[in-house]
Amino acid sequence: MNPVWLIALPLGLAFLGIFAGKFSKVFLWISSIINVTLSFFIFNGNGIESYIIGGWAPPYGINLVVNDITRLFLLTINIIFLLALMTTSAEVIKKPEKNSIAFMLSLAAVNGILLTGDLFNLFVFLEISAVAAYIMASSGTEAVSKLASFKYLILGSIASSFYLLGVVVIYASTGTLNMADVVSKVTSMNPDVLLVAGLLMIVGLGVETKLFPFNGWAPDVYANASGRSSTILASVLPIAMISAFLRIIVFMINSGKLNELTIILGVITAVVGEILAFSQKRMKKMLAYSSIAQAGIILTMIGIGSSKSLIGASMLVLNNGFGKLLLFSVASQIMLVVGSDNIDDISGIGRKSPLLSLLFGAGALTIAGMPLFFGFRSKLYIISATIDKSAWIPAIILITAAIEATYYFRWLFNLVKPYAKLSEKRTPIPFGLALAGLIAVFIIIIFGILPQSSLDFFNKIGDLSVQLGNSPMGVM
Amino acid sequence: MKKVVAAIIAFLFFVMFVSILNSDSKSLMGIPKFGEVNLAERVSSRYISKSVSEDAGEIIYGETNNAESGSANMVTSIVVNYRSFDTLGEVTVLFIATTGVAILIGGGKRQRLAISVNPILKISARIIVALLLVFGVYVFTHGHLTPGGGFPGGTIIAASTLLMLVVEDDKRVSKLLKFLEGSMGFLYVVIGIAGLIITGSFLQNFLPTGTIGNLFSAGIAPVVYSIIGLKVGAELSGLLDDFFAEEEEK
Amino acid sequence: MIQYFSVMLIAVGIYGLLSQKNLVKLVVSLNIAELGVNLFIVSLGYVAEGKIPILSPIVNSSSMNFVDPLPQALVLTAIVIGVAVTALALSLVLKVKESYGTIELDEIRGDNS
Repeated sequence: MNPVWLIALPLGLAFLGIFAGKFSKVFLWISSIINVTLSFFIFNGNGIESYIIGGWAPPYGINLVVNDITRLFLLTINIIFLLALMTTSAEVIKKPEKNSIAFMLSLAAVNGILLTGDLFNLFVFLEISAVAAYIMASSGTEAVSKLASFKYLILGSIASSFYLLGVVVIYASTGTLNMADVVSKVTSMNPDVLLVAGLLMIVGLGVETKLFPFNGWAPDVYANASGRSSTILASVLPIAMISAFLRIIVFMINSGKLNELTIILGVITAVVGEILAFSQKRMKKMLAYSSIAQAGIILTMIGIGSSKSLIGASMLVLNNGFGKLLLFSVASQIMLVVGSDNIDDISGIGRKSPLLSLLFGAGALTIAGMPLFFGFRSKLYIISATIDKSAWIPAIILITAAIEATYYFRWLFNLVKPYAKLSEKRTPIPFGLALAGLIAVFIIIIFGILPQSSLDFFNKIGDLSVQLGNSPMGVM
Repeated sequence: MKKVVAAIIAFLFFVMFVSILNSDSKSLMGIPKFGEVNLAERVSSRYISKSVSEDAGEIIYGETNNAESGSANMVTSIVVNYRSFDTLGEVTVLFIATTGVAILIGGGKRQRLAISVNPILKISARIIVALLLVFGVYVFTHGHLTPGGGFPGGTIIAASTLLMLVVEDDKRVSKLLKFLEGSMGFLYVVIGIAGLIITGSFLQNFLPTGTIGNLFSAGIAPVVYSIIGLKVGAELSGLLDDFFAEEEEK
Repeated sequence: MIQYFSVMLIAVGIYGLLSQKNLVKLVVSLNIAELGVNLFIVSLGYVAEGKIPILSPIVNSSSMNFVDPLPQALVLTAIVIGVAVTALALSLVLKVKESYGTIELDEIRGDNS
């Protein structure tokens, strides 16, 4: 099963969407459903596979690389995208045909980021995803969403230019643009040149993965975008961006100093994110800072790079995907019904729709890492992975987990407390939100309670660690 | 204060980058000195000698038949043949950006310009538009023989649209342009899928490559560049038209 | 030399992005930085005494000395992406002007507490 279909199908349908009128919304659903089925087929593969594009063998041509991490992430990204479409289908967006094109291209781009094995091809897909994200970010109803999208655009574009500079520095030194080829040549590169190229790429990828100090765009963008846009931006895109960061900085460049820098920046990101999330009064802004903090912890794990930390990082990034899917969908539904997501305005709304409280509760508890949920398992892996490394990282992670649990419980109790102003009448929630939300809750509970032996695919990810001497990029 | 900090950061960047500029040496690979690039170490040497899959010997203009990509312009052979996937991505970025502009400021009535246009200008503009269109088509159909290709050719066509938009006060572009843009993009993906079905790799060249230097050579390169030229021309024309739209009533 | 000049352009662009308040000036600084990046990429491909990589009746054999065509292909893509992003940025500036009435960041932040 050639994975290029995962990219080509949404791409082709998006081009048709510009003149197909009402059909472009249908195309969005068709491409998402077909992508999910195709990724199930791809999930059944083994080892590291390479698919050639254009008929020219790498490093002279471009190839798509599929390893165990890719298979898992492809499956979950496509599933989360489809669930995100379902949970936000009740929302009414202006100019829905053209916005569907942006969503389809975002789907194609995140699949491309996960699959590609070529540095410049990754740049192009990062740009497609970024421009789609700028359009999604500006889709909010308030004027401030346009300003937030502009800030995001400026930061994102200069970051992409830095990434491109890093790519050409590597090309000038090693003579190739293929990731697997660079891995074999990187040991004979001048270490200063490698350091500069790596720094440029960390800045470039750091903006999209919300690393400190490049994450200034995230709170305003997540808080003000439309419901469907903020859900996709918060749950789908981080998976692809973190995977790109992992492959480039840890698998390909693999410089000790840059890994240490990633760990330090990741820890700072997590701490700053949690502290700022604690005091937020608007739900979507709180969720934005929580996403920043989660990204910080994941990047710290990626920087550590050991087998257990890689497993922990992948679990956490998937947990974040499903959790944020639930939380942002609930937030957008609340915005739709109440018109605001301020903590005082929405008190007690959970009593009117118990299902809404259930979805929010599940999302909150899995992100906070409570037992029974997938988040608990990922936190266990992370603590055990970092205890080997040093003493203060697990301490910081436990502190951030405590802060996280505090503010999530505060928001949850605020949702369900009895409030005199609102009547106790039950209001139904849209069918799409109910169905997709329950599927997501089912997934995070199932993976929270299954015995470890059945989570074989996570152990295979651990085998990809560079520290074991393996080459997760494969050979050409 | 803020400007001082900004200047310091910019200066630090400059120093950091300049320090690695002449770093190539015998034992460690780095950025080579300006002009002293050894192409044999880079992948480009095989692109130039058109011997990626098998050794092709010497390529002679006007004589070599059925060479690997068949295009006299080596940059075209890279852009459309060896790394065609990147070009598909680039076309997509332009597409989604113009769609974004259409979402944000598209539609509505035409904005009127503050100055009125002399009739001599209106008439001579039409002659220039005709010349520009012919030149634009020339540039993108000869992309595999001369410098240029799809993107400059499309931009020249869009320049002719800009001239018409500025000179005529109430014209808007035709709705047909959206259809052209979308169908050309879809056609590019279809060519890719056709390559996948016929030869097993997405976007592989499946047409014969002919003699180097002829107009009908280089396999799918002139076809793809024509598609790109028409698409970019339609896209940028639509983009310019959106910028001429009036502000929305709040 | 052109490589130093292009890195200086990037530095000027970075300075502009960090210090300017006007939205259009931010877009211009971004363009300057991207210009520097593109110039630097092309300069990496220069081979002394190299010819343009196009076969023609006068440069008719592939065994002559050519400049590197790959950076030129990369820059082709990068320029188009830069144009697309600038167009989107300017349309966002138009919408901000429509809603806030100004394009200076301090005045906007003054309205918006």
